Amino acid sequence: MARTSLSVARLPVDPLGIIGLLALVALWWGLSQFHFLSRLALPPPAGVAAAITQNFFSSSYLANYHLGYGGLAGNLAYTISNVVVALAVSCVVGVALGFASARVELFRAFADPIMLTAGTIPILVTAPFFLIWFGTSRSAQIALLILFDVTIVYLFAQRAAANLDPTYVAAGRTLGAGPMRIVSDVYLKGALPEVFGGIRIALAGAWGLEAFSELLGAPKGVGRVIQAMAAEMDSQMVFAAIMTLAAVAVAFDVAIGGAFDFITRWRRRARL
Amino acid sequence: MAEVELRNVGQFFRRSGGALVEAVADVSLVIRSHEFVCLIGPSGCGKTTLLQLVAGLTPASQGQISVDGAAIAGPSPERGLVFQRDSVFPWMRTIDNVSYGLKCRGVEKTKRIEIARQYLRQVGLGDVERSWPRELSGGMLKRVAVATVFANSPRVLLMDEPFAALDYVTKLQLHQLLLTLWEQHRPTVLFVTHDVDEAMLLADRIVVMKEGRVVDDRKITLARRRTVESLALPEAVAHKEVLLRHLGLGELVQDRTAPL
Amino acid sequence: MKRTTAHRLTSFGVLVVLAALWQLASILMPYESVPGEPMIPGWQILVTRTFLSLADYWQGGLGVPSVAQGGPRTYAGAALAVLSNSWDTSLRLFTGLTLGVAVGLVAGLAVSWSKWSRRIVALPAQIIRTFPMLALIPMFQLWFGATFLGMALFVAFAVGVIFFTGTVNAVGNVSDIHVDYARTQGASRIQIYRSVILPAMFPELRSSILLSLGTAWTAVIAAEFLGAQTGLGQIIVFAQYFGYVGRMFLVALFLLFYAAITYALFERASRRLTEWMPRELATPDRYGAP
Repeated sequence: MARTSLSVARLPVDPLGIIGLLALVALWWGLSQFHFLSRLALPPPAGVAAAITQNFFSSSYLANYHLGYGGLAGNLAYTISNVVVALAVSCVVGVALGFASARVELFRAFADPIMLTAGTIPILVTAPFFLIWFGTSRSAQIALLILFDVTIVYLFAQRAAANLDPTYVAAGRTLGAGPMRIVSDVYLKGALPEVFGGIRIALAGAWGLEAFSELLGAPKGVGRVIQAMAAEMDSQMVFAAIMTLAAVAVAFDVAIGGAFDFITRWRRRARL
Repeated sequence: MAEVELRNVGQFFRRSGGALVEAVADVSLVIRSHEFVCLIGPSGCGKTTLLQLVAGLTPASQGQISVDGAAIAGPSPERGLVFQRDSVFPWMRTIDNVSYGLKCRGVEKTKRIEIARQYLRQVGLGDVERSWPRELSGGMLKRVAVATVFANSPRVLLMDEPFAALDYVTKLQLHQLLLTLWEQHRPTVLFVTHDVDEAMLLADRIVVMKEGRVVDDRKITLARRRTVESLALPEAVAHKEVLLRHLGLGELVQDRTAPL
Repeated sequence: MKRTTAHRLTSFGVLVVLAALWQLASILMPYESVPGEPMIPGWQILVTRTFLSLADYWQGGLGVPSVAQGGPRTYAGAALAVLSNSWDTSLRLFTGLTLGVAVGLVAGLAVSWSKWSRRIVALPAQIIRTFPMLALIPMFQLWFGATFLGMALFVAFAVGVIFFTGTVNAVGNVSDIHVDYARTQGASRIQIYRSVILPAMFPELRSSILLSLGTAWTAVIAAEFLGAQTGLGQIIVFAQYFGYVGRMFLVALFLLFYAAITYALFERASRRLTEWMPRELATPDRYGAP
């Protein structure tokens, strides 16, 4: 049922997928032409593209709204740096806690209920608390993201370490690997594919969360641009901000996917 | 009942490199009604592909396949197929699995349950009709699959190495079960296997394939319900020797001079 | 069974410990966000004064006058406020969730009908999955205003996208052998969809359903944070403007409690639908919703 022809599967991108993407843009363009949706509400793709190019590297228009002279790029940099910093912190903390919980039963008994609860609740609920505790600063957004990222990375790291075939650990030990080597060469490398899966999921959710927490209150960032422009009813700029953020999210996803394939190129891959 | 005819059947596909591969090449074969034919050959010889063509799961690139003179068009319950891997639906209870084909044909519920029950009893699974497949062993799942095809009263029965993954004893038990059902219902059978002993035990006729072509076709006239003794008769041994040599196992054969 | 009981006891124990830690923090850090409002209100304040103050959000009626009209703060008023705002939030949530699931599922199945259409949507679907949905809320407000329709549609949109991509993926991963088996038994296309594709894709779809639940909660909270007239999310943001940490905390607890209930209900329902599965497959992923 699901067989695609082999020659196509070898290309990095399915040409039919490109057609699908173009169709999506065409649909957007078509909808923006209808008059019952005023041009103000759904800007046409070309207008959004123009807004992006005009305001990308510097923008006195955005500067009017206290969003700096760096244009979309400057605000994007703020958003990206928050997402990346939060993810980096979460990887270290999440992997360490996840591995520890897979090895130490007592630690797991305590950590699991907290992490599993935190993993299922709508984390967004905590955003206003961080605003009160940290004010409208970078810390409020980063704290929210860390809370979100850590629970996911923790869970994937734990599962990866728990699922790792104990034969590998035994083999490493008989070959003379000490505890540090076992962690770095067996657990870390063996668990990498699954941890990467978690990182990818965390990252995909983080962009929207970051943008939204900026909407609630932040010095700058893409979310702030969206908020300020929405207040001005400038839907073209709102879309411009959303689209650049979406492009960044996709680019990160592709990059992470590529890095993942490279680092774990030893894996046997299922041919689809 | 049903005569299966293959005329100049061929099947090609393109490899990832772009090279054209002939999985089945110009196969012509007539399988008479009620005949039990085993299709044997080394792995990759095209026997499974040929079976899929007869089942109608993939259309042939070339040639024609007909049953009783009518060209086949796609899969049909009159050509029942037993797969090598477990095909039993894990989300349906045993009885619902066995009656599924009847349900597809719109047989009324009490009627189809009655038929399914009868076949389940015949394969020795009368007591697990409400079980989930996950609660059954590999051998039991195969019995369910066999009961399912027979419940559809197929005119042609296609089997794709159905017992390859089973343990020795279970496999021999299922052979006897299959022969019993075949003697009762007499479908025309095309049975793919790579096991020479299995073929010798079951077949009226053994067709050997190599690299997509039929290279041998021999009648096995040994009396039915073959036994350890009858399979040790010189006639049986002679067949077996040729078959082993076809599979490239000539070193197991003493008399290597007889023509293939 | 023993293991799960022990597990539940530990979970409960950890919750108690967390509650105690909160209490301890409230004693050790007696700061105030605004005069008279402790930054970390202890439980003795939360269940009395804070809960009573929720009566402010009761619009009046049922014989309990609203505080804005000069009525006193009563426990009845507070309870009514919680109930009516919970009702508003859940109505937005479930309307959006139902709509999103229905549209996403039907569209996903329709696209999966042919392998061509499935290939056409594969790439856009992959891109849309990483799309920062939450950033779209201001657009929904521009289009629909801060109305019930706008919020429900936003939830439906976020859920629908997840469900659509999840459905397309799940159908693509249904094992060929089961489809072939049904075909050799004479099943029609429709019958294959009903009796093979739908049940076979459900295990994989379950993680999409859980993700949708989480997304729906996040979406409804997000929509209420940004300018709703009622609802639990609106109370939180409103309280935050005035620094009422206690109210925020209490209402957030209600939200978490409701979210937990929806998860538990789904687990229970899905356990019955997946009775046929080997146990190790029967525990899905529920993580990843922001």
